[in-house]
Amino acid sequence: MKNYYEQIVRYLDGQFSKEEEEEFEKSLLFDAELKYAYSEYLKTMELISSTKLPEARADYFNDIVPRFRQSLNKPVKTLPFKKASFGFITIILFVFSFFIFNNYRVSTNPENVTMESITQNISDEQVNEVRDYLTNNSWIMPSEDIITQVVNEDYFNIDGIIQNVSDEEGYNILNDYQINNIESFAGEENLQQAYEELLAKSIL
Amino acid sequence: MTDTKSDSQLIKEFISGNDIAFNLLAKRYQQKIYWHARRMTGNHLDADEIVQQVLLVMFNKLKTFNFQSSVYTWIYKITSTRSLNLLRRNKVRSLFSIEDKAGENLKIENDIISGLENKEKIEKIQQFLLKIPAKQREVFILRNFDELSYDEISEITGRSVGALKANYFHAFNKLKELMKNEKLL
Repeated sequence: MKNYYEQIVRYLDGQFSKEEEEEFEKSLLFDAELKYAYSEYLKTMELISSTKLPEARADYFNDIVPRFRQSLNKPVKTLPFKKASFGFITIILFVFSFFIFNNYRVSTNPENVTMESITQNISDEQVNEVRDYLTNNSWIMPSEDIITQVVNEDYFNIDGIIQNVSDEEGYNILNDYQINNIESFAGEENLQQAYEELLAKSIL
Repeated sequence: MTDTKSDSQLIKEFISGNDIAFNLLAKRYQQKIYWHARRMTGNHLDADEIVQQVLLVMFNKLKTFNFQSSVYTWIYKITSTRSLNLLRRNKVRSLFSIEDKAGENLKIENDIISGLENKEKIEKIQQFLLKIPAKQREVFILRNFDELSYDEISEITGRSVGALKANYFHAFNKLKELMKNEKLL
């Protein structure tokens, strides 16, 4: 069906000129579709318009502005100090507990062994064995100087010591005996550094 | 104070410090604001919330009102924006929450329409209006219920007259079909 509604609305709104109005009214008589659309439009709008001015409780409308004024005078809600403090302390305690627990867990993990636990059972004989092995099998003499150098930050290089030893042998030897050896010649600070380096390289 | 002063006069008095002028202006427009919001949202509680929001905006912004538009189109613009915002907010809420039967009952119980027959008819039309897309509904309400011209609606919504007419006739056709299906036509 052709959309007649715009014409109908313009006609009802009085937007037609006199000639347009006369032509429209003539069409209403002879154009069945226009007549039907016009009738439909009027019925629809009549039903809708009957709800234009609903009856409503007057007390509600009388109360709107006073309620608005009351809302303007209400104090702005702020977070109560006690509740905020309690919440803050709870969060701090939770975070603190987490760190304590985490450190405890790390310290009791069997994987996080200390220098002492590795070296306590290594004998002097075993240290000498390493010296001999490395001396016989490598062109590098595991002298005191070299070992001291090894644990210094700038020179730390396990491969430099065991160049002619296979990686697996070398690492196994160092894994078992080196700590005690290094310990004899290196200071405490360097020792700690060496230990951390060996851990990082998964030698320990 | 009698309510014979023009909107501009009341605003000027309010800007000068006369609070009662604001009350008069609010009372003049409160029903229009309420019913527009009611038809847009479909229930009394949402409409009431919008009325309070619109009054707050008016209270805060009237002091900087520049009289470039008429007061009532300015008020309708605020009402229309707040209504659409609330509809959007309710839509997002409905996506994330289960059906709130208690809330729905509260909305039905808190109604101000008097007369049972009146109430049923209005609710029927309201249900039909809610089935039309919000922007088409807005134009239909502003045109038919608020009796504004297309030029005024264009100023309120920011849309062209052509687009508004298209919205209007789409809304009308949809309403007509809904009424036919319910055998009201």
